[in-house]
Amino acid sequence: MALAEATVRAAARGLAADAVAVEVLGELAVRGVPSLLLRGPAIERTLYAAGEVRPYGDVDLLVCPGDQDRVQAALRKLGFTPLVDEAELRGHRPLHATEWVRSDGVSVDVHITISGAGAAPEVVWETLRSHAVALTVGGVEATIPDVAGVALLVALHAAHHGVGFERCRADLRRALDRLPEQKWQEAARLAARIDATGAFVAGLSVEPRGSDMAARLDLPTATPVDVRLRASGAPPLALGLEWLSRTPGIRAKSGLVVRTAFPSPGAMRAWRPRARRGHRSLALAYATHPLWLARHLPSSAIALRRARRTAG
Amino acid sequence: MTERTFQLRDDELEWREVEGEIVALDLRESTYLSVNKTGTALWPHLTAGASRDELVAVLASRYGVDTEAAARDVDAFVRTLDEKGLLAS
Repeated sequence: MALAEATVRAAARGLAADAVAVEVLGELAVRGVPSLLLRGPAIERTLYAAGEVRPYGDVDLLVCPGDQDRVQAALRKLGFTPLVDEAELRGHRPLHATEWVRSDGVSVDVHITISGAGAAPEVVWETLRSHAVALTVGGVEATIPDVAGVALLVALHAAHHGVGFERCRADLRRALDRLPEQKWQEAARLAARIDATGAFVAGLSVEPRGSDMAARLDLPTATPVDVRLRASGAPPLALGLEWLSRTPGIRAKSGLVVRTAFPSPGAMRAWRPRARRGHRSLALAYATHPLWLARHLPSSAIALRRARRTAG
Repeated sequence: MTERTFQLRDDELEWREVEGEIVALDLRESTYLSVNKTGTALWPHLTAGASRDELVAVLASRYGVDTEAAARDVDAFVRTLDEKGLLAS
C-alpha cells in the first residue's frame, strides 16, 4: 500500500529541515562552534523505530551563550535573518530561543537556554552538553542529547506548549512507553541541575501516565506560575500579565502596557504567527489587535489567578 | 558500445526510507516524491550506479518475475527519474 500523503509530506519536510541542519552545522564547524541539535532528529532517533516519521520542519539548536555572535554570523552568511529583532521585544519576557528564517521556509531556532530552566544559560549548556551523543544527519556528524536528555526535553517541551499541543503530548506518551524509569530518574536529576524540576513535573503531568511517573519519582509538586500557565495551555495574554506583575516600578509597567497595546512589527510577528505571512497579514493583525486584546484579557486574568492559587 | 550506467544525482537530493518505501526530496526543484516498493528495491543500486541489465536482474530476482516484465518496470522507473531530473547526467 502506498504511503499516506501526510506521511510523505512529513518525511519531505524532515528531509528539508535536515538539509538545512547540515548546512548550518557545516558552517558552525568551520567556525569551531559546538552545538546540540535538539528535538527533531534527536527525538526521532531516540523514540521512533527506523522508518517511522516524527513530523518536524525546522531546526532547533542549543548553543553556548558565549558563542551567540559567531552563530549569528554563520546564520547571516547562509542567508538567514532573525524573525524578530530582539530590541523590539525590550521589556517583554526574554525569549529562550531566537527564530531565524530564510526564503526556503525552513527556520532555525537558536536556543541559548531551554524553556522552563531557571539556571543560567551556561549551566544549561554545560549540563546538556555533558549528556550528548553523536548522530549522523544527512551524512554530517551532529551532537544530540542522550536518552535522558531527550526525556527531559520532551517533558519540558510539553510544559512549554501545554495540554493543547498534541504533537508534544504524542512525544511524551511515546517516551513514557519506551523509556525505562531509570532514564526518567536521570532526566529528573538533569532537570534539578538546570533548575527545571517544576517545568519537568508540569510537562510530565500533561499526560496522566506522566503524572504517575512524577509521583513514582517522588518529585516536588511546586511549580512556578509561568510554567503552570504554559502547561495548562492558558490564553496568550496570561503570561504577559504574569510578566507585568513581576516587572518592577510603575514606569516600567506602564511602558510594558503601552508596548503591548501598540506593539512593534517584530513583537506582533512574535506573538501572532499569522502576522508573519506578509505586509497584508501584518496590517490585519494591527487592525484586529484591540479586539484580540479584549478577547483574551478576561480569560487570561482568570487563568493567571487560578495558576497563582495552585502554584507552589 | 558501453552500456549506460544509471545513477542518482549526488547533490541537492535527499531521501530516507519510510515504512519500507523511499521518500525523496529534490532540493533543487523543491519537490518531493514517494517511491513505490519496486523503485525502493532499485534505489540503493541507483545510488551506487547500475546498468539497465543489473537493475532488471535485481527486480527479477527480488520479485521472481521474468526479465521482460522486470525490464518494463525498470524502464518506466528510470524514465520517471530522468524526467524529474534526478539522474546524474
